[in-house]
Amino acid sequence: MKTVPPSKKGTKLQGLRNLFSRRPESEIADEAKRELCVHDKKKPVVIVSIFAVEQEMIGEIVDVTSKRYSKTSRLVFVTDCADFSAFMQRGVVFEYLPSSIVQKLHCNTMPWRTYLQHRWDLLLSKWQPRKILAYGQNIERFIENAPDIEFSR
Amino acid sequence: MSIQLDLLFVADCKFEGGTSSAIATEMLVAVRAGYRVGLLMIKGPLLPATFPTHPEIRSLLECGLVERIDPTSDVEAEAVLVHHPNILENRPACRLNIRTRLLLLVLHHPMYDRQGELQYDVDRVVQNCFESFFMEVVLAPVSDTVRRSLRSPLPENATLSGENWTNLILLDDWPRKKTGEIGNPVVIGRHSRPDPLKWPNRRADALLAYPDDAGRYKVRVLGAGPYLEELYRPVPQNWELLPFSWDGIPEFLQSLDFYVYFHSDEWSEAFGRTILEALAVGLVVILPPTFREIFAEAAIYAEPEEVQDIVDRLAGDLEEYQKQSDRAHAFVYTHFSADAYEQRLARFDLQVRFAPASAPVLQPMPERAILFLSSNGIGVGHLVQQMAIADRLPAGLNSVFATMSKAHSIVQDSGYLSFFLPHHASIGVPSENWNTMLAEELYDLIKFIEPPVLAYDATAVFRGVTEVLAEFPDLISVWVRRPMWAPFHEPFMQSESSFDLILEPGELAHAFDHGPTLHGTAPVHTVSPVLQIDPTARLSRESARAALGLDDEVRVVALQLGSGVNFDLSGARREIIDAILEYPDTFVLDICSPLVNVYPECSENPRYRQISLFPSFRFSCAFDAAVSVAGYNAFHEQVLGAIPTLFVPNEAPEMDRQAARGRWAELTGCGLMYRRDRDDGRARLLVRRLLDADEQSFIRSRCHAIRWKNGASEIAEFIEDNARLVRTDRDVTKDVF
Repeated sequence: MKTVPPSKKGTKLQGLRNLFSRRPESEIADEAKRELCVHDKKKPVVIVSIFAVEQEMIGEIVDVTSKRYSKTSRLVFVTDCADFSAFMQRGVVFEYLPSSIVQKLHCNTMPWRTYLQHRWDLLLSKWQPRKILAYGQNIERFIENAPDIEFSR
Repeated sequence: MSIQLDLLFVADCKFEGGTSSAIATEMLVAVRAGYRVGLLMIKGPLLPATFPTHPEIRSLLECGLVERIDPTSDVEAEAVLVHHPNILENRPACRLNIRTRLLLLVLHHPMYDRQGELQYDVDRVVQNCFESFFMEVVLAPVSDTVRRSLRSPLPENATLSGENWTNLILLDDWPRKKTGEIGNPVVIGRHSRPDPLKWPNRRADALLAYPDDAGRYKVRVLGAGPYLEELYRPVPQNWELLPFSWDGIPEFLQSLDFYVYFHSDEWSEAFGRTILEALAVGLVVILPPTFREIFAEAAIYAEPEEVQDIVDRLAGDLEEYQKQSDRAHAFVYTHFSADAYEQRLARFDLQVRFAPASAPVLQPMPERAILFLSSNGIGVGHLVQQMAIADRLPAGLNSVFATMSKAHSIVQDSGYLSFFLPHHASIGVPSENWNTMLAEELYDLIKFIEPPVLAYDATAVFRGVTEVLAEFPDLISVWVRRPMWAPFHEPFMQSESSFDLILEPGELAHAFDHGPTLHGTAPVHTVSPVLQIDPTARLSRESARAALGLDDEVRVVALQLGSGVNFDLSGARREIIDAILEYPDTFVLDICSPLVNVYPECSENPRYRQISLFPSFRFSCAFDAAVSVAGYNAFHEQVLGAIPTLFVPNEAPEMDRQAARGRWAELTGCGLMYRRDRDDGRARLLVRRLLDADEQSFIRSRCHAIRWKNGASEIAEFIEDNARLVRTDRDVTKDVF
């Protein structure tokens, strides 16, 4: 039978994120930063977002940015392309957000705009990038275009 | 718009025995009488989630005679019948939007057992019931035994029904036994769910009621199990032990001469559904005197030591036997038949108001999302298993996937919404930090999607997963866990307690499994082997060959050797391909894993082609033979699809025991096996056997002889039932905010 431990993480989970997302960096507790950041920070991270870009172009974008940044930075690609082959063939790190078409196809599943804003905040917390490069749509536009349906489950 | 019903049943439908049978009968009788009936399922505190919904109740829902009610639906019902007090010992974990003018709580169990032990707190139950519906509760005991167990004064907001809510029986379902001859030896039988409380405490008493004299008596037990050996070791030789079953009970009763039922001193039987069924068939029934007030002249009452005399006397006096049989049947007809139910409802002023013809058009069930979460795996096995289940969910339950597999596009290409949560190994970060972030990512998904059920398919259970499950205690968490684990994975067994329900897809080679899952402590429900595509749903040979551009006259051998990420099979691949291509009429179709675009070890031979094909099983009638890894999905597809196959197990230490599957296939004649490190140099020999027409015919005949039904449907039913129920299995008042 399932054992339900007392809730101990929820407040912390939310709290840590809020701490990071809503307050200036100077106020972020060291502990929170340590807990949410997944990498060791030996190399600063550059996030490369690739939204609403033709699939055939992705390989070239990965090649160009890797050539430019991989010596000095750790690259993390964030894509809305469900076919990961361009990233897998090149052995790079990538994250995925459902594309605008997918969001529209499943528009009743969740409040997309709010979710994507949370997800992006989380990715920033996760990787704590030094720089963000945008190919195609930038993240603000990507989130702004998401379906905004009021939910009342 | 609210759903309008005459009767809304509120029940935990996992009870195996009389309570569920009584509810199913009652609903069917009401439907036949023209009432519009709904059912709101409860997950109560008594039974683990591994118990399936009672098949008679599920059948009523499936054929649409009874409407399944979603917990979030607005309902107006003339009467709400809450069956069994135990299901409201805790408050519902969600608000019930139900209005009614009669709230009846059917008490299927005495408040105290024979030892005076409290079975449920009626004050607490009534309070929970009252505050769930905000109206007075009418307590309706199923018998005088239950009525007497209630203490006065009654709880506030409760009244006691003037009549008992007795069980019903549909006599047409229980044809009368033809009397006229008693067997030699006399057959004494009984039927109950497998529970030692349903049996006399002492072996001596049991042998008085169920004698071990094989020359004179045969004792036939339906609902036996290992518990009987523990209770009475040794069980007498003349006892025929049959496992508990929901089917074939009338036939079982027809095979008996006498029905004798004695139970433990500690047990207090509220009613005795199985006794009623035996009486309906017209058996002579012998019971302890405590049942007299329920069954009156329908049964004979005695102490265990009197049983043999009564049996002997009536076995030798057919006229008296017939009279007792007639009394039994007549009593059931008078007191427990369907007609009695309509009269009972009329006494409560419950008329048919919402007969289907006049009722508004049915509202579709509210849409809910089911979250399928899986780890990365080496291939696509976890995703395929989950799609097998998702494909079988009914409309209104929308599958959403969150996976660590880079092959997640196969899910999206199938029309499902899918999220990718990269595994720490694929992003090169420490697992400790990653787990914290995984919990965050999952927290958001659950928060925004609000799934009632999360189905997890993986061997590894990550801290991030268990932490987030603890955050959502009302979410039903299901661990779909395949067997054949390597010892390597044993530590993950400790995560069993994090899940509400563990479902295990069956394994053809289960006899060869001696892994950690055999020694778990949590209840597990095992279903038949799971396939995404039923073998009968595959394309015909002609269509598949046309789709793949394959000539009809060539012998096609499909190669599916997986991604090779953790176990290098390139040498084996080359050796096997060369051996196949030595036969001039063969063609090798090398099917790439969705995780690999192209294999470098290819052949220049024009009779060799690499292809990306998912799901390849749909095209497998085009193949004359196959060479395949022995992962769960591939193995069961090849065998259940009756494709003559040479299995090449991936024997990496972190994999499931694929060589054990290959061994099973060899020994049963369902396939052949090539082990990379044992059989190098033997590819020619094994390929010759694989391509031999007689060998292929033999393998196919063995595979076709396997009796199987797709376990994916059963898991989908579990998920459907759990997605539409109200939890009362924990005390929500103890939640800390």
